[in-house]
Amino acid sequence: MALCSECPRLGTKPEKLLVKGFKRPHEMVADPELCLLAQGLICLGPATRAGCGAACIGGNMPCTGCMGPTSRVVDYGAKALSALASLIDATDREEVAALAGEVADPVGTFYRYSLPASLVHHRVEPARQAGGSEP
Amino acid sequence: MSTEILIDPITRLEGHGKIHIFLDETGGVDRAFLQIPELRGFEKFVEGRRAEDMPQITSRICGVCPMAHHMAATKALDDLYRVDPPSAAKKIRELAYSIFMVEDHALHFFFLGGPDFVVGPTAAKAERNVLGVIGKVGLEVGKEVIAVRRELRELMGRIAGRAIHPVFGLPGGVSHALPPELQPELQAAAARAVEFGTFALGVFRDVVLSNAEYVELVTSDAYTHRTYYLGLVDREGKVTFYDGTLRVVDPEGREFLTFDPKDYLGHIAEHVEPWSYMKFCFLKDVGWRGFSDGGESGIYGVAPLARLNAADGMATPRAQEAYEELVSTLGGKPIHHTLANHWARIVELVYAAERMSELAADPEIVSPDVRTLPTAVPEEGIGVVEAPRGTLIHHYETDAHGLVTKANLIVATQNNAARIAMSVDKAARRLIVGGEVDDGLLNQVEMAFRAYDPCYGCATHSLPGQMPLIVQVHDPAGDVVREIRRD
Repeated sequence: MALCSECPRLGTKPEKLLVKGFKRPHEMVADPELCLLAQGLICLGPATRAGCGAACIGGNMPCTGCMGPTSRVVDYGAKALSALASLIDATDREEVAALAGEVADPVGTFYRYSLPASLVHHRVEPARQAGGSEP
Repeated sequence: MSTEILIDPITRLEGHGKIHIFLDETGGVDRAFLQIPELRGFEKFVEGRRAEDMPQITSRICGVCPMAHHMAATKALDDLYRVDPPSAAKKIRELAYSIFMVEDHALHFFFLGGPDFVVGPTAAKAERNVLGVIGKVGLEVGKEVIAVRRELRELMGRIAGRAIHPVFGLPGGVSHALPPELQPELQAAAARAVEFGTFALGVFRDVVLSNAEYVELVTSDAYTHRTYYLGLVDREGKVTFYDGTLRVVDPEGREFLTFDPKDYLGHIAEHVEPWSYMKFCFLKDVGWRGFSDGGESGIYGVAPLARLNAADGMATPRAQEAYEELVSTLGGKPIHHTLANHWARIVELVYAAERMSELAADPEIVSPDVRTLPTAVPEEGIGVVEAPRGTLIHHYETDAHGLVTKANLIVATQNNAARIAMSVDKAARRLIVGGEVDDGLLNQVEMAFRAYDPCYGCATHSLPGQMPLIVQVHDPAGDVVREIRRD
């Protein structure tokens, strides 16, 4: 279950959410009722496990992912990045690159709490012997 | 041998302490060390992060005083972006901060420091905790303490997003206005907080001041050091927690220095010892003269007693009254008795509650005008607050995109570190004679640092008096003759 499911602003999250650009929290005054993602803030609710009651969003600040990934996600940061990338309202390559470039410090943003558990720096281990448990 | 390296390695600490006591041939104490054996490294790993994330990242330094780090960081962001928050935003911040000071000081008095007095300095260690306190003062009082703190923390959460690790601080203001319907609740809670402060003062009077043995302990030489003191003061020279000017008084109580917090690097330096990861702050204008007190030594104190020493008084009536009683009872300022910190802490609790009350009643507190959007290109910012445990400074440098390139944090307990080291050493020397030690004596050594409410115990989430601690007693040959562990 992702955080959006328990977010009091869920009703204001558009069915098909697309954004034309990303803003940082200090660059705008966020509306205290509307979905923060829809306002262009990087809110990691879609990639984050529910359970906190959307505490930060209650403080009118975006989710930073401290509850970690949902049970079906292996790499939190990759999932968060993918969730954000799918919102980009652009079709040509340059436009996409320009919008993605607006994200300052992507590693610190998407992997703030999860970099040590990320797949990014893991080595590929040799295949396990038959009878061993599968990862 | 000590060196004069001032910056590296970096230490942020909580949760662990270690006291090493070395005995001489007669079984007296040669020297006692309070060692901090951990390295946190926050200043390093915030490099490259977005500046606006600093209030949330640095608040993770501590689970007990996250609001202090959050606020110092937020004020550093105001300075970084050269933006002045609207008046209402400043008031909302100070309101949240005042609530935090009340509940945090209450935590120390009733849960951490209090057991030493309420239950007794040499009482069985199983009793020296909050349950022992409740046993003494009664279940109803215990319930009241817990209920007041709970109410205050819930209010902090509603203002700051969360009570532990707040989110509401942004450069130029706060992330949301307060709903008008919250104001009556805030006012009611503030009234209860003021009553609670008065009640806490009463407990201190009953338990400590009416007990001649305790008064002697508090004023004894074992717990006394004549040092400089540092604290924030407002325009009238009164104690303030959220914003002001830094003032230093000398061991005679005379004003020695007053400076803008932004000039802290000109006045505060750090000394490194080989036996601890702690960096020991001292006054540059005086210099490092080793672990000694007096006017020649740059060692200074921060936190409640230091703030009262540095200021001319309290800005609110009940706190001022309590302050005057403290000063006259202890023979005038400056007060050098470390254990008097417990009393000063309650005077401050009363002030914080009264300040909370003033701000909660202010019509502007529910104003929707809570943000000034920054427009400047960021470069460097410094923010200061008085944390419950003393002066706290956050200092960031960033690139033009607002990504942190350098961070320096002077945490409250660092300012106190040298004085704490001296206090532990002196208490051990005075109390341990002929190699005889028992749990009660060792607790009295611990009381020398506990009075400061140091931050290495902050985030252990353990019962009072249960901070992980290892006390080792060595004989003159350096062999360990006794080890007492509390992991």
